[in-house]
Amino acid sequence: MSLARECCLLSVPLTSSPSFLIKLESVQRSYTANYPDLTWNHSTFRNTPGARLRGAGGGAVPLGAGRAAEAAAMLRGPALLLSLRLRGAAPAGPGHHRHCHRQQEQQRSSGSGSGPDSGSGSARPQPLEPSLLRFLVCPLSKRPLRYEESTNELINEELGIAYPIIDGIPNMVPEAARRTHTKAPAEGSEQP
Amino acid sequence: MAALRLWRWRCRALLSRPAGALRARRGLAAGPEMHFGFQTVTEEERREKIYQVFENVAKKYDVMNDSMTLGIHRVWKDILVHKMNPCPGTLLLDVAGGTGDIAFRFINYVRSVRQRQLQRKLRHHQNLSWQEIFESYQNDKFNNSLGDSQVVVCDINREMLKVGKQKAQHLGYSEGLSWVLGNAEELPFDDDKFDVYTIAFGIRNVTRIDLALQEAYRVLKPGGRFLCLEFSHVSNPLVSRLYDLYSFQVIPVLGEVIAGDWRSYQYLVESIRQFPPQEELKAMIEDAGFFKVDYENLNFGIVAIHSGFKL
Repeated sequence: MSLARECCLLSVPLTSSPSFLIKLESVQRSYTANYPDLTWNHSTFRNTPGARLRGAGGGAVPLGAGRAAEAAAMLRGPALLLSLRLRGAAPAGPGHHRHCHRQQEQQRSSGSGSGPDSGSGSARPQPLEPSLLRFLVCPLSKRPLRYEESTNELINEELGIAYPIIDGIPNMVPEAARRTHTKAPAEGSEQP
Repeated sequence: MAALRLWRWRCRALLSRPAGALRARRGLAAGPEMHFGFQTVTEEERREKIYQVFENVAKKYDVMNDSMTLGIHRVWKDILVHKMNPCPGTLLLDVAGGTGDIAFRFINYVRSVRQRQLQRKLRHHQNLSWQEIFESYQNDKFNNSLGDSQVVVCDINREMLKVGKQKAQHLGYSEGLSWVLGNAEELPFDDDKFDVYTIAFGIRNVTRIDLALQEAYRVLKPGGRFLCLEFSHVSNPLVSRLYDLYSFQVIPVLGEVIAGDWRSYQYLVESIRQFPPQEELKAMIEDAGFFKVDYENLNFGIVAIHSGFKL
C-alpha cells in the first residue's frame, strides 16, 4: 500500500503536487546539511524516474489504484531508492518554511556575486560593513580598532588582541579574541 | 499541580532565606551563587547554560514565540516601537535582539515616517522659491529612504544572529542594519553613541543586570532613551493563577512538541518567575543613572516596558 503511494507521488509532475514538493524540500534540506557545497536546483531531477513517469502518468491529479499498479510495474532500482529516500525524509513544516528554503537556495545560487556593501558578501572571508566600523571599539579597553583585510580581523594594537569576523559578524567577546604575537603579552584576560 | 505549587513555594522560601541568595536573585554583585530558573548555579555555569538554551532554540525561536504567546508578542513589540516613536536619523542599539524582530519593526516605522516626510516636502515644494528648491536638491538626505537611520543588533549568541541574518535576507532588509556579536555586560561600543537602546526579552538572561544597565547608560548619548521590554510580575490574583497554570503546564509541552526541547522552555518560565518585579527593576535602572524612569504594564503585568532617559 505504501509503495503504491510512493509510486503515486513519483508519477505526479514536480511542479504540481504540494505533498511531493514538501518531501522534496526535506530531502533537499538533508542533502544541503550534509553537503553544504552542493547547489541544488531542479535540473537534478531531470532524468529521474519521476520525470520519465511523467510522460506515462500525465496530469496533476494524484493517481488512483489502477494507474498506481501500472506505475509500480515501471519502477526500477533507482526509482525505488528515490522513493525510499522520500519516505525516509521527515515531512517538512508549514508552507512558510518551504517558501523560506526555496528563497534561500535561490539566493545562495544567485548571491554568489552580490555587492560588497550589503555586509553579507560573497566568499568565505565576508567583508565588514564600513558603517559598522565607526561604532566598534574593543570591549575591554574601549579603544578604536583597526580592520585588517588579510586576516579579516579587528585588531587592538595596544593590548595586542584581534577579534575575528565570522560570516560578516564581528565577534566582539573577549573570550574569542586572539593574541597577536607582535606586542608584549597582553593582559587581555576575560572579565566575564 | 498542587505538588508543583508546593515545590515552587519551597524553592522560593529556600532562595529568599539567606541574604546573599536574595541579592543574587536580584542579579546584583553577590557571591558566585546565581539562579538558573529554580536551580542555583555559579555565574560561569549560568552563562554557559543560557548560551546552550538559546543555541538549541535558535532555529525555532520565532515559531515558538508565536505559539507560546498566541502571536501577542508581535503586538508587544509593535507597542514598544510605537512608544519609541523614532524619527529618521535615529541610531538604535538593539541588545539581545538575536532574530531581529525589533530591528525590522524599527526600520519599517522609520521608512513610513520618512515616506510621509518626503510627501509633505513634495507638497510643500509648490510654494518654495527657486533658491530653496535648489538647496533641497543639494541635500543628500533627500534620496535616502531611511533618512540615515541605523540599527545595530547585538547578541551574545551566534546561532540567534545567524537566524536573524537569514531572516533579514529573506525579508529583504539590507540597508541600515548591522549585526555584532557582543556581551551586554561589556558592549564593544564607544561612549555617547546611540540615541536609543532597547533590550526586548533579553535582560532576564543577563547574568549581571547592573553591569548591563551601566553599559546601557554609557553608550547612550545624553538625551538618549533606554527601553526594556520584559516579562514581569502580575499583581491581579486571578490572572496570576491562570498565567501560572498556562506557563507551567502548557509552555514546556509546546517546547517539547515544536522545538523538541522542554528543558529550555522550563528554564524560560522559571526565569520569568525569578526576575525582579516592576518596582525593583525601576529602582535598578535609577541606580544606573537614568532619569524619569517609568514602566507601563501590558496585559495585566505579564509584560512591562521600562523606560529611562540619560540626561
